[in-house]
Amino acid sequence: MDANELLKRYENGETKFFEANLNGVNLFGADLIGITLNKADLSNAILIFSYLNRGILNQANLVCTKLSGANLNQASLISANLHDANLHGATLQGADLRNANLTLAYMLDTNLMDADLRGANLSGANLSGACLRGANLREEKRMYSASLRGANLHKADLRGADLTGVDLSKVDLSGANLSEATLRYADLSDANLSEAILYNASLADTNIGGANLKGANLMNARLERSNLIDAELTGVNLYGAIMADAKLTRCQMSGVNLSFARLNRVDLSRANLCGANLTEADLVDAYLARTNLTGANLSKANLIRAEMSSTNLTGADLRGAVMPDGTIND
Amino acid sequence: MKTISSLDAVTKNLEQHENSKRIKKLIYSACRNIWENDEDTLERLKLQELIQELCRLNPTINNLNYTLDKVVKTLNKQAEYALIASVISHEMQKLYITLDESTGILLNQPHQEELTGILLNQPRQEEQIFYNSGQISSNPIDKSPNSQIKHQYNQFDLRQNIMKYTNPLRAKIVLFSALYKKFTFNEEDWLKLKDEKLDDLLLKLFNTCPTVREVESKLNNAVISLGKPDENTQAASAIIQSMRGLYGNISSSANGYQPFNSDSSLETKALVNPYHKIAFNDDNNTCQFMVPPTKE
Repeated sequence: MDANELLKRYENGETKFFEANLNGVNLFGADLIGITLNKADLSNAILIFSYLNRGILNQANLVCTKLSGANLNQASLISANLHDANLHGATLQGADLRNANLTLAYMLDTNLMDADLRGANLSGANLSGACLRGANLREEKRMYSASLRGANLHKADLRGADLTGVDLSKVDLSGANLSEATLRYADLSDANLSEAILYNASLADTNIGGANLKGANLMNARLERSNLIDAELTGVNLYGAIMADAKLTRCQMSGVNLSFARLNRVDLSRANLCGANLTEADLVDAYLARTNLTGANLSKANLIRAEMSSTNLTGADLRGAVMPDGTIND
Repeated sequence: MKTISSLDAVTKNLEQHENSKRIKKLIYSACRNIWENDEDTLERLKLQELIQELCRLNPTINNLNYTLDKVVKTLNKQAEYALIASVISHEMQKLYITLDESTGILLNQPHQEELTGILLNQPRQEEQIFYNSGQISSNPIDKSPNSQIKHQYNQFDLRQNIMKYTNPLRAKIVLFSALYKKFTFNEEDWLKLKDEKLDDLLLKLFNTCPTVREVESKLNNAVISLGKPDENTQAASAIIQSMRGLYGNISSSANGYQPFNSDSSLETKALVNPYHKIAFNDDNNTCQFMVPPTKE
């Protein structure tokens, strides 16, 4: 079928075009609102600025399709193949993209607010500047397992997004906004989170081993039981963060702000906390074997039962701190 | 980290004060120009963020006193709130001292000629922009690192608003045409458009336009040059509506439009605090669009 035929039939009221062969057609700016194109072949087609709002494109072939500026709000693209598709500045607000293949898709400045991306494969996709506010990527055992492995999410807006259990390994989330997002059980190993905003984000049980969080803002974030082994956290703001039972072995945390943070039972062995601010931090039962706390501010910190026999406290400020044996340091 | 604990100390003192509820109400009003009595709304706000915002809007202690005074004069219980205002002022003056830039919070003494601002615990240094206003010197950047003008501009909220109300690619094309030249849909222009994110284009427009009128005029010219008036006008108006809030407070005066001048800007600028929960409330975002554009 060619473009003209499609448009003619659509104008005459036809909306169902199952398995239509529209390979390479030019539908620039076409109005196809509410059209059904299940299993249709639209690979290499030009759909720039087209209107596919509420369209049904389940299992459609959209490989290399040009969809820049296309409107796919509330469209259904379940299991669609969008590999290498160009979605620059497209809008997919509220779209259903469950199990869709978006590997290597180009999604710069795309609107994916409230999109359902459960089980979607976004490995290697470019989502730089995209808005994924409220998007759902939640892992559901045996049903949905989304992947963002190696994706580019530089400065993406992921506020309030549900990224539970998602594979975010090696992802670029530099400068991204993840405030209030939930990343529980997600894999962020070796991810780049430099300058990211994680204010109030939920990172409990998350794997953040080896990740780069330099300059990130983690105020009030929840990191219970998280793995931060070998992570780079120099200068990070962790004011009020809740990190009970987290593993911070060998973390680079010089100059970090951990004032008012809860660090009970945390493993900080061999971590570098030179010059860190731990004012009023809760370090009950913390494991501080060979931890470097040179010049750190531990005033009013609570160190009851902390293991500090090999901790380096040169020049540390311990005024008002409660020491491991319960005595208060004056 | 002495300065960060100053802010903490001030916050703590005000929170623990017996009149902490009134203190919060007054600070909120001084920031937003609206009086909030709802307990729940106030509960959800973090005092520390409000204090930071108040500091940002009032670069000097004199500005702060003037702002607080202005609010108190509009209230019924003036005498009581005047006392509250002095408590706030007394505490917050600890934040108006000069420090070297290695610390988290940098505060400035103003020079008579220059408008100075307050840097508060910036998570992303490169995001700060220099705010240009028609009446203030067009080159506000001072050579010395301690007295630079910086205001925070929430790129995420702005981007989100524009994406909510128009097609992102269309918005980019209109912005591109407003900033450079008419977008011609050829290979070269597409590549240039891909090179810049929506955020970058918005920031550039914001930086080159000292007033809302400039923004409107640039975007309207772009729309005219592009043709296809329906779609492009829609995109342009979404951009204008979203950016209007960055240039002045639209809620305080009856006629809606505040002529931008150096006095009112300090007190009435409603810059969004990126961490403020209210910014995430959709109702609050959309209310700007309920106000019909007013004629000047």
